[in-house]
Amino acid sequence: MNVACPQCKTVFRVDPRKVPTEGVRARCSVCGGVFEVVSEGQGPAAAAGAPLPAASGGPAPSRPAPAPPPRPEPAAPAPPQPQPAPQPQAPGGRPFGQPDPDARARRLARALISDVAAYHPERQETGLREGRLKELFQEELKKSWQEYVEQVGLDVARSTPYFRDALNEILAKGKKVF
Amino acid sequence: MSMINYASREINCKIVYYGPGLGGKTTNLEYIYNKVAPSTRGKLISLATETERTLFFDFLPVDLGTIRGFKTRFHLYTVPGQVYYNASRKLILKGVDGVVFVADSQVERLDANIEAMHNLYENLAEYGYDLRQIPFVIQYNKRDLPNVSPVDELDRHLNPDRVPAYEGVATKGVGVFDTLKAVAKLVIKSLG
Repeated sequence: MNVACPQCKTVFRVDPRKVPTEGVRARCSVCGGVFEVVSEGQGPAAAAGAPLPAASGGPAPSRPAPAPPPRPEPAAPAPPQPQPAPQPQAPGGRPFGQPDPDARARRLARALISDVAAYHPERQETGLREGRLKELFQEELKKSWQEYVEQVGLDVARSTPYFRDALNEILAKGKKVF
Repeated sequence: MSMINYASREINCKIVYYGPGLGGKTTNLEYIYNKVAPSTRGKLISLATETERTLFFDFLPVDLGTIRGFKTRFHLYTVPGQVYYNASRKLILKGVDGVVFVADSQVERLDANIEAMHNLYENLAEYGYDLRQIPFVIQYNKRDLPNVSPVDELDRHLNPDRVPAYEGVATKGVGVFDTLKAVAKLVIKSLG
């Protein structure tokens, strides 16, 4: 059966025998989003943002996933038929490099802030020297944060330190300004 | 996707220069533009908004021969590199025949390079293309700067499939034509 990630729309081929009748939670190996897969007789994958059953008992994700909207359950004894993160179907669906959503969020944050610093080296120096980084980069940081949230989701953006870390490490050159 | 012009007996191929912001894509294109014979090239067009810029021109190399009697005209494009201009990047990739990834070799831009490479894969995948299947080369630019990552480290992060990769100093033209020739050859091979 085919299952589409409600967030990034990637389509995966899933062995229907591995989907229990009560459904199962799966993590998209492309965008890292967690969604519910129901068996073929019960309709398509849950819509984006639909609350997942609190006690679905589905297999715990293979790694702790910051994923909108609900958090993965605490690692419980794994029930049978764990659903591995589905692999994208061809064509062209190869996830380049590290597919880990945590690593992706961290890299995105660093790339965004690295862009800000690269495009405005003089302003960065002034901001550092005069302690006005926040003020001088208000517009760029707002834009970067919006892009970050759009790509990784508000939950991940707020619950992880990656954006702030990137600000301090890259824009503030290691000082704890943000 | 190459377009054939029967009237002028030309095959038109689109090559996109991709990569992080300020990595040297525009510098590559400008260098090429200034070196190719004016009679063989079109205008250098800059589609610039307040914040982003795309550069474009086409030219007809004289030394590449013909494919079944057709000459090959290359259309070179750059994309805006900053993370948040993805809509433009994606649009420009449409119908691409070959890709050059211009990486910024500076240590502090490594994350931006990797992010741009992921973004390239993702955008191509959304058009149904696989980067492993289309002509693709990498240029490690800015090799003259003091704070650059070693090439083998860049290869490890950016070039797992070991596509042709060239060291460049685009401001001086170093590696610019090596890179272009490499991708052009791959494009022509893919047509033939």
